[in-house]
Amino acid sequence: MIPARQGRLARLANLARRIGSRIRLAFVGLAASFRAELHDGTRHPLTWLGLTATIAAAWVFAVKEPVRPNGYVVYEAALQAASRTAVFFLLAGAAVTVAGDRTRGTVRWILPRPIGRIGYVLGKAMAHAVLALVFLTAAVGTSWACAAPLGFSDVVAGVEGDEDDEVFHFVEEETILPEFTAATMRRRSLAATALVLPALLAATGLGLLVSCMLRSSSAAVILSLGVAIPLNYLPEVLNLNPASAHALPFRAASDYLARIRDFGRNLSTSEWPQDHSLAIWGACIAVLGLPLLASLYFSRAEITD
Amino acid sequence: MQAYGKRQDYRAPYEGHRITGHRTEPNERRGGNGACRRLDFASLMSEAAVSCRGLKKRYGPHEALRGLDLEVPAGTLFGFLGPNGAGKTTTLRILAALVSADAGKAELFGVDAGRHVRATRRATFLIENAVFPAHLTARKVLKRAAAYMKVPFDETPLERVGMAHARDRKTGGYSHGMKQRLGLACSLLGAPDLIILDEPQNGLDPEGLRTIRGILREEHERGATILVSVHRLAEVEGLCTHAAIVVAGLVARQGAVATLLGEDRPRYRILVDDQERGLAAVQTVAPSAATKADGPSPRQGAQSATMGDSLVFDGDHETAAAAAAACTAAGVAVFELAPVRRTLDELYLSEVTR
Repeated sequence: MIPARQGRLARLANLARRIGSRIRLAFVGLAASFRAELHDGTRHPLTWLGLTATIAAAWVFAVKEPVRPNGYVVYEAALQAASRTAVFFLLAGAAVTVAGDRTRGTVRWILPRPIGRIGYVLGKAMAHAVLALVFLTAAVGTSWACAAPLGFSDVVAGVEGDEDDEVFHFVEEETILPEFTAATMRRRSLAATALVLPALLAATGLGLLVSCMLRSSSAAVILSLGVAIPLNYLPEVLNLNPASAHALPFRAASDYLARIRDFGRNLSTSEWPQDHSLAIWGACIAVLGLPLLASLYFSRAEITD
Repeated sequence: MQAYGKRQDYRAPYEGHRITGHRTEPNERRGGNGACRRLDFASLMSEAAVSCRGLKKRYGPHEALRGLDLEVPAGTLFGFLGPNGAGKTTTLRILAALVSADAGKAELFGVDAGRHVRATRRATFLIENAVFPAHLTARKVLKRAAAYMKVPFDETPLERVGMAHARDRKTGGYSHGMKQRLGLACSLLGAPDLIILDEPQNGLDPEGLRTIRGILREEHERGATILVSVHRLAEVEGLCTHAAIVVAGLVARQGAVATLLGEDRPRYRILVDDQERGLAAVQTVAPSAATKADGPSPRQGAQSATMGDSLVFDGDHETAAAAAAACTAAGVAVFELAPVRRTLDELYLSEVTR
């Protein structure tokens, strides 16, 4: 019995060692790929153009907000506009990474080095995640700068129009609704800010996946946008709860903050939407799954430019 | 394909047979005389730097490789020859894990190149034309390559390839030849055990060609194995110790250049006035003697018409002297006695046109 158990243990240990070795080898070169992509990404014109556009969009939409009784309202409007713009540029930026290496031919120079293909793609994904954080910081910073002069206090507000219409018009009234107290609005804005990040990361992952599949960077940009936009209507087509749309790239940008307002309202009464777990899972799958899917696809791809 | 589960199988040849000793004792390995052609190949054959078995690769209807077998002994300077479309670059791409083989196995120092990242840890590659990120300077390109390879950054390769003057210029403005030189510099980083170069001489000026020849010799003397795909047969003949000729996805001939050219089997040509009597006389000392099978060249044909017929036989210089003496003793006039040396051109063309 004892030798048999030892044999089983030894086999299990051997299997674990083999799996560990396989995983370790797969990630070889991740750090080098991350550093290189971060270096290139921070110098890419698309990044600087995107950052400029994000900041500009926040200012423009903050100015466009018709009624500005309070900083929170302006902050959310500006953040919505900035994140929408950021998603566009992050998606395009991620789409040109691997496909760009193929187009230029530099992938032939990188891959024969001792670098795992999964490590190569995940290193790029990590670098773009850092860029997404930079974009988020820019969007939040600009939105806050737009909103701060108005002050963050209770919103004296009322809702015009149909309640199902989700379009909020804040007008000066005597009444302070419970969901528009300063404390509630702060929590709502913080939740909105935190939940923009999964959307940005999901856009990056989608761009990377498309980038791994195509050989031309321009085709990758076109296809990633072509996939992202129809994908945003998937919850309606499949009759899913709108919460599931949170991880979808463009939907996340265009419709996200409106949904977040719903969340915020539920947060104030400790009632989350029923399908919030679906949104969280969707975000996790999009954030973690898409880059992994991209790397697994790329590990099977041939470089035949 | 190699079963991945047999980890011991792939670790053993990789980790147990390192040839770093070659670097430290190159003179001993070369027999101390410094001549590349006089390497002790028998000792080097103990480990193959590159080993391909039954490689097959198909691109749509085109069959690029049809079961290619290739063995590059460690420590050799190996010329990889073949006409355009023969499958040279596909083979090198498989070794670099840029494409996967449909069937067969490609190994670098015993490690499956298509499956294990560490297979390329002892090798560097320059596949086809060198391309680099255009926004990086040569120095940064080299730095990035060193980071990818986890070797210390060193600017010496730039000086060796004659690119020190352009180290701070962006590669986007480089000429084709400069990029090739920079590609070669990258492949020299970290003193690799194996350097695989695909037509490195493309786009180089004569001075660049000389530089590359010098570098390849130096690296070979250091103990590195070099697999280089070239089109210039004269380069291979003068530079490489071993060669393989690929024709239509198969290796037609491979081995030491000297063996391929028949230098290990000296052959002589003797020009006599009477072929029949001369043949009989020569066969008494060299049974392999025969009339010249592949026909005389036009110049030789003119000589035959006026001066006699040629016979060829295998043997060393003593046999040649004995054959001449036998002819003289038999009353056959000897006009010329000369060693016959095949050129790589002849060998290549005979294989390609076969």
